[in-house]
Amino acid sequence: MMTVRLKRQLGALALDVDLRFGDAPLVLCGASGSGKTSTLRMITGVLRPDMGHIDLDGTVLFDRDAGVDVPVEERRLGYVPQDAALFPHLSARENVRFALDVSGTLARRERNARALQLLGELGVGPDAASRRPAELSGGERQRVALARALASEPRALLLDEPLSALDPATRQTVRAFLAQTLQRLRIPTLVVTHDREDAEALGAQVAVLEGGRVVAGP
Amino acid sequence: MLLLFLLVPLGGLLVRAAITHPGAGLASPAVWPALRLSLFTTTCSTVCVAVLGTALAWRIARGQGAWARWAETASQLPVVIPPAVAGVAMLLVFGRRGVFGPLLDRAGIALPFTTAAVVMAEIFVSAPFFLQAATAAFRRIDEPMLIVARTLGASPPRVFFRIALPLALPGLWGGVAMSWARALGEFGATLMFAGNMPGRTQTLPLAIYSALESDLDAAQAIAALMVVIAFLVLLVLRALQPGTVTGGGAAR
Repeated sequence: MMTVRLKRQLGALALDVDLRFGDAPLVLCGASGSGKTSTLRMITGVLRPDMGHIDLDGTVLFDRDAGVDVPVEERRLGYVPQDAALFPHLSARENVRFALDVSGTLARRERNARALQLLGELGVGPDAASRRPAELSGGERQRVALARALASEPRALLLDEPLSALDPATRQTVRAFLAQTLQRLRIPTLVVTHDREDAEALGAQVAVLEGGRVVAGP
Repeated sequence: MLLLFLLVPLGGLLVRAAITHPGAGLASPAVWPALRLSLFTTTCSTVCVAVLGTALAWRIARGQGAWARWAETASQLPVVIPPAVAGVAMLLVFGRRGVFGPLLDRAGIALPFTTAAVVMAEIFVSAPFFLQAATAAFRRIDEPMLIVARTLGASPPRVFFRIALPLALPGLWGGVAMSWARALGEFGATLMFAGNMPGRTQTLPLAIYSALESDLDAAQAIAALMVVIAFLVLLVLRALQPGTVTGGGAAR
């Protein structure tokens, strides 16, 4: 279970969100400029809230009053930004392997196999795994980014507009696939989107963000 | 019109050097020590600039707030300062009677009019060119990519060496070529701070300056040699043109 209470002034926008999500993914839906991406960035820790409290399964990640602010590197959150943000100089497999190298839980020689396995589970075959991001389709890029996030064995997952860069046909397939995968993972997941249809397909729960505030929620 | 004005003198120089026995000019005893010294000092200065400059450019590119802005402006000062002024300034700081003079003297170090002084003058005038290119290269890296690396648990050194550095590398090489070319052409600051001693502080531009008074053929030959080198640097720069480099399109 993840509890997020955050306040931050961003220019003219007074962001003030209050979210709780657990086994079922929560979809945060809102127009651009409503504060979705900033909310995710505050949860990851790269953007500091003015006030608030973030709790993940009983561990406090941020609490302004108690002076707790766990560094980004130690929060163990899987983050997939808009457009996947794959490392362009590394192949799909090396992108996933980067996460495995960082966590260091596996022996070196097992990491390539594990990277291929993770990619395979998300429908990226060995052929695509050897290609660089520029040579992958939009749908493949999203899957690789998700595999990379999962490789670090995150305690929660944050997805920013996972479907927005895809063409309509790919979007349908990836949407169904993503909904299935998220159900299977069973870790607290927050998905951000501006698209109502995506929101309903992906999440059992939908919260609506408008002008920095949650106006309708689960 | 302007292009003609830029190209005609260089063309004229090359043609004249080709007509009047370039071999004889290059055989002048001043040429090879100057070439050797130029290659040695520019290699030293460029390595210093690249190593220290990469770290500084990364901090400037990632920095927010007053410090980064101030550092960026300050680092570009040597571009607008006349090299002769830079030479005098270095003499006033590192010279025997300079600010650090007594300190250096006690340590048994004499900098002015040595090869080290040539390297220092070259670093001073060439560093801004590298810093500008390197800062721009680091700024072209997509921010979300660096955020992802951190959320995966990567330490700042790992983010730098595995993600930022490889992506910025073509831009950094462009900066190396630019600053090396500037160091090779350095004249004013070197003359003031290091002097014009053959074999010790007389680099190629200073050799041209000296040869003009005694041996026009040699001056011409060295000048033509430097034009060829500069042209090669320009070709390298074109090959490393940013835009074809960071693969940012992959993240789109």
